[in-house]
Amino acid sequence: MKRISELFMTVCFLGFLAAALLFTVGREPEKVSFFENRTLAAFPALTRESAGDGSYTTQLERYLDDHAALRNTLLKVKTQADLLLHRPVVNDIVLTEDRLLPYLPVGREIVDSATVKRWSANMAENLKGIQDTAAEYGGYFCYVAVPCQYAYFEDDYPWYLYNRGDYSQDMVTSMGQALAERDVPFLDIRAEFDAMGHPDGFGSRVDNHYTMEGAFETYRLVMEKVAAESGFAFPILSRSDVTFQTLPNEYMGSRERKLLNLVTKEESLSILRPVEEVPFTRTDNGNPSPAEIYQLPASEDDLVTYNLYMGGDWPRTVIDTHRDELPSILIYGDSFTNAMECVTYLSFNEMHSLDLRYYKEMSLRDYIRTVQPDIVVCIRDYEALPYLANNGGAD
Amino acid sequence: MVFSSILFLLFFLPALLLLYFCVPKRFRAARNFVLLAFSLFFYLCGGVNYMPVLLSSIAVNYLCGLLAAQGRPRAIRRIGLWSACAFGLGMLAWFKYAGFFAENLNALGAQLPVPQIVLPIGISFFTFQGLSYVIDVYRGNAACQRNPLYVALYVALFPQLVAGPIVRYSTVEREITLRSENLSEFSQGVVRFLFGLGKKMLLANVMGEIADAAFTTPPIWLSASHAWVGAVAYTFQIYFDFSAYSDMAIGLGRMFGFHFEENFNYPYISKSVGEFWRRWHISLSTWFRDYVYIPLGGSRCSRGRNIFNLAVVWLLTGFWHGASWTFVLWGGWFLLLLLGEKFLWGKALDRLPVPLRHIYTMLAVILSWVLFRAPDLPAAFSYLAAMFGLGAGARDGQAVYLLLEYWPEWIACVLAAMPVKGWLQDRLAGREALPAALAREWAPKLAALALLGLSYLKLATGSFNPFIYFQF
Repeated sequence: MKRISELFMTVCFLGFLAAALLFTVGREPEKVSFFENRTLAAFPALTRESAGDGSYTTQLERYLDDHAALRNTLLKVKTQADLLLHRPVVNDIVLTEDRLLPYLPVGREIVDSATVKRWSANMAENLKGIQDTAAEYGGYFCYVAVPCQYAYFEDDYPWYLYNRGDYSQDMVTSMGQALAERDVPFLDIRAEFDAMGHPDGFGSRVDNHYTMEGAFETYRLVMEKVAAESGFAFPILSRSDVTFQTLPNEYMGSRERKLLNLVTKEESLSILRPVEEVPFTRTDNGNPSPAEIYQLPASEDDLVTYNLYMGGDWPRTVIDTHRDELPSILIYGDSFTNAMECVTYLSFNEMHSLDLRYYKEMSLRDYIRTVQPDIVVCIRDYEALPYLANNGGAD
Repeated sequence: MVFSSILFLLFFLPALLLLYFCVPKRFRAARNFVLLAFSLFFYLCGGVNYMPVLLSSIAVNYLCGLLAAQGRPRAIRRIGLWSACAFGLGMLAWFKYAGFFAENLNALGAQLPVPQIVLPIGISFFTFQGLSYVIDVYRGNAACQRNPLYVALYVALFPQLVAGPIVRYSTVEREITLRSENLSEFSQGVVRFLFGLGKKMLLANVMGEIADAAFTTPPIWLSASHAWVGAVAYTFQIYFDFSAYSDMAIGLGRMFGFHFEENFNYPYISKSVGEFWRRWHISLSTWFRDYVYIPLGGSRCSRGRNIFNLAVVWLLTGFWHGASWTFVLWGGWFLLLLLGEKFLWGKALDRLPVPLRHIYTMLAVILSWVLFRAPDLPAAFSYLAAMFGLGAGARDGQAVYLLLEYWPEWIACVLAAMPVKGWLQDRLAGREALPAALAREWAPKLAALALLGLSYLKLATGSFNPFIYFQF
């Protein structure tokens, strides 16, 4: 029996190594991991430096880890096992009864109050500059803070997990004060939603963004403020002016995606259509695109994501409704703008949208000077409120 | 290259096994050559720039071994011995400590340039191995090896090359030329290797993530409960990380017919700090005992001299781990505890109930690992302060989260830190019935295969995979 067990052990071990080696070598190379939403490591190039300091081996190990045999299946097995073990956080997603929320590590990606104040002041100075640029030709500027998922549902976190509640409040208060000191219009959407009774349906249960309903209410709140303060006249759509249509397709929010779609919270995406159609033309990066604001799935069996709205992030999009009597608007900021743009264009002659992470043709201020939109709105979520980088609008 | 990597498991190891076992057993020299070539390639993967350091270490130790051999004039032998010591310790001093000493002298007012030197992987380990060879030859405890390739094989043998255990030449002297690879040894080696791999991938890495998160949390955010969970996690990480490497090294050695000494013996069941050091990193503590402590006079001398000898050993032990005041303090901490146990509270400790002795030992060890893990002294003191409530208060939810999130790993760590395997084997040893015999024979192997599957799963899906002792 001893010899049989030793033979068995040896054959199994060597067999495993051989099989895993063959599967790894024979695997069709992939460039992107869809569920992890990241680019996989590329095969490293051997250089004098990388061979000399050993970093080539590290890069090769990373490449092989990313391209190991059965990796995608094993990712699912690992996630499923973690779910079965009832871990409160799986793949950095907090599993609550109603929602899938991001895990927020204690003491990380946050700074102290004094730094928040300093950053807020810098950001407010930058925004003041943008406001001044718009004011040069009579334009109006407003900065809008929207709550990202963790900020809107901070009470949903288990008591033992950090929800960044104090930090979020600190950021929005600091930013509000800094902007008030500079007379830059500011709107905190969470405060407005709270005044409306903090409706659950405004925030997604499975994604960082708001729902179409939340986007519509944000649109209304922003437009009411703009109309009241800017003096421009434009129609603001009410609930009776639009219809919401829930798509039958399965929606995969970014949180579900991180969980490899093994956990779902039965949320569907909605699209909003005006009761009275408004014809328009659309260009993306200066090129004509179909006159559509939703990237609708080909069939009911296809998954949909937040990219449904405006077709995802575009460096520059212009929607022209050819109604010269109405003012024009420029929206820039986070991907939160996407869902809101689906209704905003209905109120304006021209709607310009910039994603400053990708738009590099000119600076924001130059764009504003060139296009001279009547209204400029920046929409940023709580997480990025005082950050100049990415969509912050820094030159 | 680390053992717990796909590169090693699926490419390096199969290629070596194939080539090594293709060579008939009778061609021992050829097999040794294959092993040496792969060992050097293994080291080369860590950086071509460091290769000359290893090769010169091998060459110097080989030549010094020839000079230090028995039968030569005493003066020549002494030249061999001291040349090896000067070269080995000089290399360590330059690569590991030059920057540290320059920085500290500059802090005292000197104007020295601080050399930016990258530490060659495993230098502390292969330097000590080389030294032990020459010293053993000088003392007559080992025969001088005339074949330079065999000295190279001893120093560079890949299983223990970069992170130990520190293998004495006398341990493998005979096996270099006369060893037996067979199915039984190979399968035992595989089982041992896979248990090590499992410890590393399933326990050490997870505990490392917890510890890293705690130790990098700003002190104002670190509650006492979180700090203790982090410190305990690091206590598990360093044990499972290092002992896993030793398990894998011992297992790999056995696959190729080598028998390395054990490096750990369940240190966390110790009832005193003295016992802990008889169970922890045995190859290092015995090295210092045999090559430093005893030559200095050991304990067969006056109390003052004995204290001095211990102080030298623990200062060196601390320094061996790294050029930082945290390691010096870490060595000093153990010196104090060992002196206390030897001269002050040892007898009182012996009279305490076993659980209290165990708690005392673990507290001493956990606090020591804080010094060991912290990047510098201020960070160490901040962390220790947080452990005693001077950070973000006594408790927050983070500790609860870490316990709930990693509950299977915590349980597994506690069980794996105890000699459960030995207890089970003892219970089964006396039983003649078939189920007991089957369990005795098959259970470790099936468990090892299960660990292989789980480890591969972790390898393919995770990214946190550092080896702590690679930095030494």
